[in-house]
Amino acid sequence: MFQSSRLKSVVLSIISLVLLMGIGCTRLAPKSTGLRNIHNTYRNEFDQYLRLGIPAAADSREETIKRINSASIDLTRQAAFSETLREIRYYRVMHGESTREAAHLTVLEGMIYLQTGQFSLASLLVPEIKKAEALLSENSGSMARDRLFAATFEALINGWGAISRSERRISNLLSRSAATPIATVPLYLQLANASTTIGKELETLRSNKKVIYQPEVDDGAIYLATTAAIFYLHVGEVMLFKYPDESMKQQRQEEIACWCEKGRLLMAPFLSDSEKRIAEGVDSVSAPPGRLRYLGWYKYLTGCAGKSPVTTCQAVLPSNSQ
Amino acid sequence: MTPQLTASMVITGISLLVKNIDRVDKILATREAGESLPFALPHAPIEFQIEYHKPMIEFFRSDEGKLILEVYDIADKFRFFEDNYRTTPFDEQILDIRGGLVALYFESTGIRPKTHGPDVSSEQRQDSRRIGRDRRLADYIVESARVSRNPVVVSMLLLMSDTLLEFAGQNASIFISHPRKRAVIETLLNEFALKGDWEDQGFVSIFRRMLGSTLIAFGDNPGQLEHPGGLKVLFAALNQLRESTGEEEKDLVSVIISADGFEKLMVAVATEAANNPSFLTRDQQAQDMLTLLLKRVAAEIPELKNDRKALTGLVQVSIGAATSTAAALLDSRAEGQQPLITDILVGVLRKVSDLGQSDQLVSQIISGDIIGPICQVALLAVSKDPRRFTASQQVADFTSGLVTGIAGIVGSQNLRSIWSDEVRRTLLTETLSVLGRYPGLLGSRHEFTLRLISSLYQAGAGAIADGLERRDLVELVEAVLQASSSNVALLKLDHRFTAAVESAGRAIAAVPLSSLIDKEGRKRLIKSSLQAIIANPVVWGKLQDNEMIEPLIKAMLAALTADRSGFISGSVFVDSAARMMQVMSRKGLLLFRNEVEITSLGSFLEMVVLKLEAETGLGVDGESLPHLLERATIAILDQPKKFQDDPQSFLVKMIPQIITDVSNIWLKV
Repeated sequence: MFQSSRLKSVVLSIISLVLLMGIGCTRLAPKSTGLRNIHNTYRNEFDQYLRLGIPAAADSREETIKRINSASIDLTRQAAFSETLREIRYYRVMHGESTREAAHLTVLEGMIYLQTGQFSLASLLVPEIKKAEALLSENSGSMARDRLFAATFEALINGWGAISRSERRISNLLSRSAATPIATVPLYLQLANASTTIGKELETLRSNKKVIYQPEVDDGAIYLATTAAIFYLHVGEVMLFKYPDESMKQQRQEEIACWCEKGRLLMAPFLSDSEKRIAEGVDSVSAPPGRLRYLGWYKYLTGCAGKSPVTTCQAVLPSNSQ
Repeated sequence: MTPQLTASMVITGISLLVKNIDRVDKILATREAGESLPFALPHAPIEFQIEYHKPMIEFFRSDEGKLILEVYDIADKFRFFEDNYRTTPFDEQILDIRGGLVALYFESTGIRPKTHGPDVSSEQRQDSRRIGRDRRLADYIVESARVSRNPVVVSMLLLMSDTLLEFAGQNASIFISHPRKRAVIETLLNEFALKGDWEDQGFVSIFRRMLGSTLIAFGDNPGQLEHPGGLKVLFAALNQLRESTGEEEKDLVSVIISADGFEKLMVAVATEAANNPSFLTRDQQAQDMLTLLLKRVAAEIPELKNDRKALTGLVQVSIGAATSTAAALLDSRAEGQQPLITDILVGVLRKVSDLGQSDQLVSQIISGDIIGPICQVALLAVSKDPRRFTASQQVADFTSGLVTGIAGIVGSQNLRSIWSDEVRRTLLTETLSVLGRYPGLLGSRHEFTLRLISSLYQAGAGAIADGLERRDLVELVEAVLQASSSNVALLKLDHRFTAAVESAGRAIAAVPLSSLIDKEGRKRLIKSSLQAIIANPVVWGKLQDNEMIEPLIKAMLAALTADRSGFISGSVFVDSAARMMQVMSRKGLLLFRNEVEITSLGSFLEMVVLKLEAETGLGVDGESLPHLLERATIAILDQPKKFQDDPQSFLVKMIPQIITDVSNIWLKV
């Protein structure tokens, strides 16, 4: 294939280059360096977002009440990740928009909008996300994280958006702001539909063997499954309103158990057997930190679903509530 | 140690770098796009427990609650809620109002609501603020698989560099500069890498493992790479298997290359080919055979995937067969188009699997690295005359019988009760190794040979309690096989030989000898009995037909124990027994012609022993005693009637005579 000296030289040059890349060489490798800088900026800004205790990122009980009626949070959200977004735009100018890396950045941009509650911007990005999905496809057909996010992006907008709109409606009510028009589709139904869509997409991909990477390699699927499970919980909480009296405790328990089970079933295929054992407390071996939150959710949903869960619960239309 | 760089290499490297920088930057950028990044999950809903509902309604009916409603200007909305929440619980207005009321209720009463989801304690949250950024972010990381659309060459070069660095470290460039090591890497590239799909993560993982194994296997052993033909066969066959459409076949490749012994397999394969120049002309056949074999294993015996050592043993044996005198098996066919060698090996494995499922004790022994030697024996057995296999059923019957026979070697209840599975595994491995040195006994005689070994171990089992060890048994096998391989009469004895061996073993075990002879002596005694049988199979065959061997040997040994002084012990005992048995080999038929009863023989020998005991020091010593007993045995065989008519007179005449005869022989010497 190669002459021996040529092979040797090429390998040496690659080895040298790998070392050079490690210390950063903007002139030699502008694309990879630029991308690495964007990722560093994103991580820093994500960390700041966390430390401000802003909603989605914080996941704290204490902050939950604040988010209901804090208008200032909106402003902070919009300012978040501003540097990352600026660098993404610069990268596009310098290196074009029709590459895999650019596609990855489009997906990252979309996820930033979702996390910061900027759903209008996220919706505007949908056509670009679709193009990105095509660019991110691999010859083997396997779906890595970014492509999975792109494939379910609209469902994610609907789900995150429904949660956010619900909170905004309450906030408007309490702040005497103008009432938000009633949605064509009730928000809880949008959440249910989003979950179902994500679940179906994941199941379709998973049943086509090896399309979704193994759990040890890629977290895209488990992240989406957990997101959809959380959406189901929102729906479940609303469905509990069917049972407003204390005498209906048993029905309430069964209702929420059902929604927990639906969520658990979404997550189960994307956790390895050993992870499930860790989540159930059977094994005490630790998991990587990033996986722990999924294990935590899986454990919670398993406990919530109880011993004999069913999955026949449905999101009822408002007109069927009587 | 740093790689040796010359100026020309550096310049070449730099020019290549500059020429390829765009491509490399693109590759690295694509890699960076697959880096792990943090993403938040949507927040979970508050858990509004039913216990709060009634108190909340009552709160907003109270003066304090009403005031709050007025402040927020939602008093009318509360009334609307009260009137309608039961009938239209999912109306958006109702949901909005409920949400507002819940928020106000919790804020007013100071109740901390619970949120659905796993607990994150305030202590943990405090801790997260004290640790560094990366640790904080670690909880939010969403990993991504690396996606790559690199040109094949570049992907390959990157991966090879990575792997070379990982496994060979600073010696990476030195490794590939060695001509033989470079040749094996090129073989791997040609047979595997260049034909692979570098977009397929599975393929990349497999190639990385194979390259790494190659580096480990031959990093310090370039001498074994004199001829990489064997490795070519291995790599090419694995690649063909990997390209199959079946999932079982692809999985088999992963299992083989991830086995602990894969590096050893590579070295063994390389060595086999190097030792057999004729392999040069047969490597394509060997490759086709190996591919076919592994495909059949994947399809017909999928459970073998769980036994990696068995798989690597199988691969090694099959490639070895192609390089050796068993190469004729590549050409032979039973039925159909498949080489006989694959039918044989698949047959063996299938029988091993079936036996293992029905007998757990067998499965614990006949598994793992014993499978290779069993396959080797099977091929040796067939290679002598492969043309006799013309039908599939013949092959099936043969392999079934062979495996059953091999399992039977260490399967007896005696051995099971004495030795652990691990010891019996080792015994079987060593036995198979010995067996492999006598291919002549494996052809059409393999059933006889396996039964013989089994009988030998049965016979020896009784002596294990006296200290006979595993290696002693193996030595006995070697001795018997060596004798058998050149003794046609012995082979004609067939099942009677094995029965004779068992009878001798039972007889030796039945007589209490532990105070007279040690373990070594015991072994020599068993060996002597076998040598006696081997010396004249015709006699012993007839003795066996008449079920006389066991009582005969018992009688002889029992007579020796009649000595009260302890003089007949140790080597004297063994030599005496050996000589008496040799007499039986020479004159045993006289037992029939002269109608010598064994009980008489036993009594006679006992009396002789007592008489000789009295003569110790008067012409009888340890050296002469065995000879004297030999002559005494001859005497009773020649003239049994004289003894029966008048035992005392017979003895009185015979004893001095034989003492004189033996003394005279030594004087002459």
